[in-house]
Amino acid sequence: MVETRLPSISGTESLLLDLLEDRERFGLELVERSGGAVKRGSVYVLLARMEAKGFVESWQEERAPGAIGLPRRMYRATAYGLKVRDAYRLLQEALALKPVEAQ
Amino acid sequence: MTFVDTVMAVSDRFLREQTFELVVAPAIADLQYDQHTSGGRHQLRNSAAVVSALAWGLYEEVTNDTSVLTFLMLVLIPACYYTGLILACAPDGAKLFSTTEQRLAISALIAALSFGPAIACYWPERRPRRESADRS
Repeated sequence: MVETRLPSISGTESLLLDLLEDRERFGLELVERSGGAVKRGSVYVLLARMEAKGFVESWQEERAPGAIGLPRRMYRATAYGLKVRDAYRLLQEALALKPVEAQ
Repeated sequence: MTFVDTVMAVSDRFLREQTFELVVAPAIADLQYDQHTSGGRHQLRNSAAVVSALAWGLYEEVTNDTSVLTFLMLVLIPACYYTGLILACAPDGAKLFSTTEQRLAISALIAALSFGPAIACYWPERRPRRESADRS
């Protein structure tokens, strides 16, 4: 029998997908909107891991001519990421039901 | 050499291009963006974020690279050598390890002597990346 590995998603990843659901955002925007759940020092590691899992996609911002510094990176949730998040939410809700309620 | 230059130099040596692009470069971009938009109001926090991103990047490199075992073996060999050397050649050999401070000092010395050359010589060569933007 072929084993298929299910994707895993953490609470923080789920939160980031919530923030990225409606529009693309910069990393710092995500830090500010997460209400302290995501820190500046770890946001890009989280996003890189999510990108490796296929939950988000990213690209460098368009630069104005003469702009100084490295271009910032923008992030957007993928359909797959949102699907995994929704599936885990359903699973959590189902498992949270008490046995009597589930009958 | 500025802070960003130093981070870039370390990244050039130790990080793969993908790790740099996804983890360290965005943190540097935030730091530079903040400097140009708000005059560096969050300079300290952004600098700490860059250092943290670099540390995470190095951690990712170490944990994802299959050659880590080879690297650890290369560290272990000089570590055993220097430990044996200290025990054999130092006057009163094992007495050197009698107090916690002495044990810590000798362990730090052995770690520095073992990790330093292994990191400098063995760490897989990283392809130099293109200059994507002004670093300052």
